[in-house]
Amino acid sequence: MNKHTTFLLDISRKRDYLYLLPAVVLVVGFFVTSIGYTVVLSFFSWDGVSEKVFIGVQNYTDIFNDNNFWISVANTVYWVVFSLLLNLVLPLVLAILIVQSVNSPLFKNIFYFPATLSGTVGGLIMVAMLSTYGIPQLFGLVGFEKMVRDWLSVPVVNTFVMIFMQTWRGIGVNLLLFIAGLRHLDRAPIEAAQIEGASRGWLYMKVIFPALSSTTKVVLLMSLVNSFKVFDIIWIMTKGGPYRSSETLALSMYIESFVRNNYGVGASVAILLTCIILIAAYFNLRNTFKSE
Amino acid sequence: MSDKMLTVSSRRSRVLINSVLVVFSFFWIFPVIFALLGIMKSKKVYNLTNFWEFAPDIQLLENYRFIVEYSNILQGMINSLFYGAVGALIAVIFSMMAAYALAKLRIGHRMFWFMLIYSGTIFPFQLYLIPVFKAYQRVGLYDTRVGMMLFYSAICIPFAMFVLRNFFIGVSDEIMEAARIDGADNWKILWRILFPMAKPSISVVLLTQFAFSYNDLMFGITFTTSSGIKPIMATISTFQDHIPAMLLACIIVSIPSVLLYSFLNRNFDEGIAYTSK
Amino acid sequence: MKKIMWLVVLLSVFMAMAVYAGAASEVNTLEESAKKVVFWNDKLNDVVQAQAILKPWQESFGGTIENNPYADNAAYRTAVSQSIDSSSAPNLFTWWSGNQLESLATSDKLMVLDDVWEDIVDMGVSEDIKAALSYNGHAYAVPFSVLNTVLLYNTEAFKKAGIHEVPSTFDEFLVACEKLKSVGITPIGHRNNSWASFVWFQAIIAAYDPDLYLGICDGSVSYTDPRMFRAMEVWKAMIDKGYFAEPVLDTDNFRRFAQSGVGMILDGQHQVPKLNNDYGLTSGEGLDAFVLPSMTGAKDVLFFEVSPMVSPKAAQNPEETKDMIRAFYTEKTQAATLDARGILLISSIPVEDPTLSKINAMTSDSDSYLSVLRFYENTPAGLRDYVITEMSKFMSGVATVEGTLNACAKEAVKYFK
Repeated sequence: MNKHTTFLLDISRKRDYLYLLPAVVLVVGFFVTSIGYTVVLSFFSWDGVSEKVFIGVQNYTDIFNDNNFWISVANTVYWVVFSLLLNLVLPLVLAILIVQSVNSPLFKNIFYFPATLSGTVGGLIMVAMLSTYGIPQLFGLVGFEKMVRDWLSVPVVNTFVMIFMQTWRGIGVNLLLFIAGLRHLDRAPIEAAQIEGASRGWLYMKVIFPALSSTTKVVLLMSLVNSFKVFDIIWIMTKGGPYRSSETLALSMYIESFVRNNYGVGASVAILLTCIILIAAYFNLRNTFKSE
Repeated sequence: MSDKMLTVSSRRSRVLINSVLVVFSFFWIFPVIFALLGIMKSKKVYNLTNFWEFAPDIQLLENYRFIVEYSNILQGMINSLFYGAVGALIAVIFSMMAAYALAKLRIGHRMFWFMLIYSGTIFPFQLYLIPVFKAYQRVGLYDTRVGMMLFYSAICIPFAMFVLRNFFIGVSDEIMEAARIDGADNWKILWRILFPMAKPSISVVLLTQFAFSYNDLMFGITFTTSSGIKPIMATISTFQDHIPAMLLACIIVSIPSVLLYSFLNRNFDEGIAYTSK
Repeated sequence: MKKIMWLVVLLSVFMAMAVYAGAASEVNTLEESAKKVVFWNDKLNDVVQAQAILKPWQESFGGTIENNPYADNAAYRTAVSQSIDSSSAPNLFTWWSGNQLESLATSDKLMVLDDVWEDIVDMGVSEDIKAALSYNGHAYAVPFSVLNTVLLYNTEAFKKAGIHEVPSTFDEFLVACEKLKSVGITPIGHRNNSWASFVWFQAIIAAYDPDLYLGICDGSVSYTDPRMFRAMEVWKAMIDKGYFAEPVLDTDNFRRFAQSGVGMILDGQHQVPKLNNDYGLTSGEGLDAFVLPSMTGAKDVLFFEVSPMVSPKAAQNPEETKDMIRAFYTEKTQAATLDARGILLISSIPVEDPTLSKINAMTSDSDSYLSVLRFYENTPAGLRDYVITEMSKFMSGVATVEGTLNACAKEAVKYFK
């Protein structure tokens, strides 16, 4: 290769980076600078209106010594584990059922519909539905009087109620992905297995699920990031209560900043949460990038 | 179709599968039933009756009149349609380019660039409020439609890029090589060859990102103050004390999303298949 | 052919949008000859209330008041804190009293409203309120609302339980609770948020001893003072006897109250119009009010809260802002706020609603009632949040008197050195 061609190659390589430019400019301009600002803010004490005061890492040490922070961490773990599980398994099962059903477009539309609602609207409807005169009352009518209470004010129970509600709203896109994945499976290995007389269970475990693994990876990463960041639904349904028992890290960050005016503390929680998500996303992606 | 391959033969399991789906569907559309019962009631009747009871007299028209009298729902919808549509469109165009570069062009440190763009969805969204507000005020984008449009474009990019990159990775290099031999450069390959192929994936991105921007309340009301610029969700939030009117407003407001969904629906199954290759 | 169609459609959509986006700036630059002020708030989110109040307010003001209600807390705080020094600052906005008002006032961001106060005192606003809104001898805010927390009771429920007279001593109050319970009515309603725990905390402590309450608020008395234990034991006994209902949604709480499912709710007077209009109770007939009686025969304590409105120094047209403030306290505007929110700040117009009229009479009867600023604004904000969380735990039965008070005392040390 002579000098001339390497030079041309160089130019065209640089031109390739131009394709990234608009997206990078917008993302960096809005979001990366925001996170930079937040990192700086996390070393200050600030109430939103007075002068900022530099206090070093005190916000972080305060957070680690705060019992409520660890409750938030525990709740975040609940959310990530269970909502991830539900958001992965339920759409997959439903997708398998739907492709075999009598009217798959109808069922697909029904299960997708909640995803078109706004978080606020969906939350308000659900709050009204879960009021003691709503669904709990129905349980009372059929004899479960103990169930007639405000589920959202019972610690731990409320977190699981909210996880279900999140699932209701959140599985739409995942479901579409799995249905599409199932529809485009390579038929050869399935047919081969069927000729060999494989059982249904074996067919799914050994042939169909592995073939869906690329879909699963996409769903997994999206659901993972979303489950860490769940905010709307908790804020509307319990505001983190009763007595801060259903707070997650996203809630703590919001409450510290925008309810208590401790913007520095809120920023520190935000940074910690961001680091956790970044690490989780990184490990999730590293393999994907390697295999490509 | 590969559907058939997975279809169960025995009648019993077919009945079982469909009944399970019917039961689940009931739970999924239950809130719609709830909303439809609710919009028939007056505020007082709604407050004092169980939701499954029918309204003694239908108040649907009164609730509609209430919405029209007390809000400019049309203006809000036009604003949000604009933010949602333009935001999603710009995001798709820029993400197409970025995704193409990341999947097919000679870019070093792909993972770094990918993470840089994807990070936009990783950070908790609330932390954007103050810095963006500050910046907008300084450059005069605060309370302008252009500002809202730019913000929604930016926030839609990461997800759009993620989905489109997945699609491009799945496109075989041979197709591109063939085009290159015919004399097409990268730009032409992207728009003449990949764009038509990606139409299904683009539909997915358009739909989800339109829905996000259209349904957003927090950013919409933070970065605007004039009533002519506020998004539709700000209007809806003023009905929180009148639940039947709010439910009715929600139904009216969701019409564009439903229309868009049914318009793009044809592309879907195909579209999402590529995203996961 | 199809491609060209697509292109045309896309292009025209873009052009339409560009035109539309451009139109925005035109709207903003429209010259307006009449007076125009901007009012930001987190209070007038209900359209009906907003219009009912804004119409007479604008008429009294003789100009346009642009109402900008924020339905989202983060949005509101961000918008206010980030525009308070800029030219896009609103003329007037609502804020929170106590520490939050203090930090705005002492950082020199607010217009001093001493001269406006002279006028509005002449218009009938009580000068007592001024003290709660003043720092270093200057008033930095005017009241958007002043409201009292009272025990609203369902008269039907009381009749059914054979209670013919409103309890005038604490023992009578406990007897009334017992009577309600014996006829199957839960005595006291309970909201599923932090409201219940904080209003009951302050009510019980002040009913035990008003000075104890004030001492707790300013740090001169410890949370582990023996009197605190005795007061909390009274509360604990009430909780154990089942006088408090299970926590439920606000709307459910009102409904149960309206339908005699619970006998009393401890709530703000601004709920009276709502209970009348939306829940079918009638003031003076089905609905009435009293104050939790003192345990010792001292004056009954009437808790009040003040929601301030402030004007940033950076805002344009300060004189118009002052006109706008004065217009808020005209009889016309006040009649509307009374009607819509049950709140009246001037003395010159009569209160027709019997329940509100009764509450209004209490506020001016200083021989029988002691008006005290509620806990929420009366103690440092960080400590307040901590105490309210602890009290929520206590009310739900997962914490003991001792554990609760010790935890609060430990936290209080950080704030009162």
